[in-house]
Amino acid sequence: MQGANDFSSPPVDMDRLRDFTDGTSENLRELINLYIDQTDIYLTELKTAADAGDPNQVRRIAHSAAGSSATCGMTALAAFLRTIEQAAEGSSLDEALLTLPHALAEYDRVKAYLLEHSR
Amino acid sequence: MKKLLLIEDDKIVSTIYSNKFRTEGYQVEAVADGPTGLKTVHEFQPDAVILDLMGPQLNGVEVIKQIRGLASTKLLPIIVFSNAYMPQMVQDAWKAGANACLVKSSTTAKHLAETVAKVIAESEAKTKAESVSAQPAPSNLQPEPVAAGRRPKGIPMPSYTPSFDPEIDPDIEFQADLRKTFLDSLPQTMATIRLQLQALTKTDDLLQRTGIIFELYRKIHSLTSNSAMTGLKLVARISSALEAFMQELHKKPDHVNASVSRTIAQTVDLLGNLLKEGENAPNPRLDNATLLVVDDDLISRRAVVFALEKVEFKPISLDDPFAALKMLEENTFDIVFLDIDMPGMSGLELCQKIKMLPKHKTTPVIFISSMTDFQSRAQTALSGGADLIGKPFLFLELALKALLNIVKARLANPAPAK
Repeated sequence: MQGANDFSSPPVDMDRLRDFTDGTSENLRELINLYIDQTDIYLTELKTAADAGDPNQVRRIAHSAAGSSATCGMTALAAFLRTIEQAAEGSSLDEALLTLPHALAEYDRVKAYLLEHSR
Repeated sequence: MKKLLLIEDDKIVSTIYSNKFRTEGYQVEAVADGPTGLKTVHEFQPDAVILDLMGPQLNGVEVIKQIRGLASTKLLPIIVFSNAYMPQMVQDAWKAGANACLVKSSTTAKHLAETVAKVIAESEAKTKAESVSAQPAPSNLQPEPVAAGRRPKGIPMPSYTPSFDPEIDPDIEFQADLRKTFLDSLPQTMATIRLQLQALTKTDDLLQRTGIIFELYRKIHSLTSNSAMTGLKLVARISSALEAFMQELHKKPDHVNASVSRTIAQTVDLLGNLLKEGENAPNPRLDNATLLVVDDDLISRRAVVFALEKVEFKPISLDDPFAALKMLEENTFDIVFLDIDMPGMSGLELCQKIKMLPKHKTTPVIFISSMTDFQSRAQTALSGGADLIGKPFLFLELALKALLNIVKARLANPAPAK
């Protein structure tokens, strides 16, 4: 899936995220901050690894970022990251590089949505 | 004569409790749903209400709110049953104004009767004190306030007690009759549950699936109630966890997948095996279970710990497979949860090493991974893993898997008698 981003549905399953925090707003804010801090780092490292043409690193980072995104209910972002992971596993970075802008655009959506819901 | 209103949608449970309270000298009115319950509160004017929050046909918290919303019933004692694995429901019930919250899976008829008497007595003392002075009598049944940033606490599971305690109810004949009736009906009950489970795995239609899940939920809810009343503690505990899971699936029927179906089937199998033992069913100690979670990703690790804490376990978690291996060499654990893809040593390699440790030859290892294809599943099995659950997982599904595997392991290797 290089596919286009779908901007019609919410980027985050807030029910899933609230389940993860048992619904308390303090826990929700803490988890959102943790996710954003961690994923900022993942995606910066992902860009660096892609620029360096390192499929192993791309695969490893995409795998980790996909796991935590899926856990927190960022389904679309997780799907883009899995595509990048699978492409890199085949040692072909071409498809991974084509999907990366979609993943980054989706993450921007996720971040904006989370920051709005953590107020 | 004190009057009790029982709002309980399971006919058998309702009949048993009604009869029990009548023999205790109460006048009892029993209804099956919330709206009828609210109407009956006005007509019957009970001294206390007993309400099952988990009833499939009831919105228990809403019923409490409506009772508390009227001046005439603002102080009416309300005793609720809840599920220990749904702490938010317990907190909602307290906030709405419940006087006492009991875990159904560990509440016998005797315990319920004692609680009802205590709540009524406290309420009467409070009313009397308030009519004499402005200071209300203190109550020891109020919940702890939830500190900011902390998860609401559920009702803690009871610490270890033997599976059958003759002191549970002085009316031994009552308990024995109850158990016999329950156990005699079990083959039919379990057969129905298995048929419903088969139907669930065969349908992709969401509406049909929702209906089947609801029916399964009703059956499991009844199993929890009956096993609790008859003193089958371990069965009630496992059934209660499955009940909470079925309730969650009812809200999210699109989450039913192969892993979920397998977990439900495994739980039903275990329950069937335990129930075959009847009153001789073992009740291994679980409060001292030790769990280890290994995942290099912080959020994934946190999610697993969160799920395990739902069933009152307190796992140790590590991000480094080498540190985990050292810990496993030096300590025993009842169960281990592993990510597959980790830097330095994969979960598959770690599992193979774990299985070579004398302490952990039979320790169940559960893999948690986004890789759930056939090849990954085969690899996890070949490395010695007991099961694989896919990310993102349902928290209660993982919790249930932990409970099942720990119970099975403890039944297979019982602690030596003192």
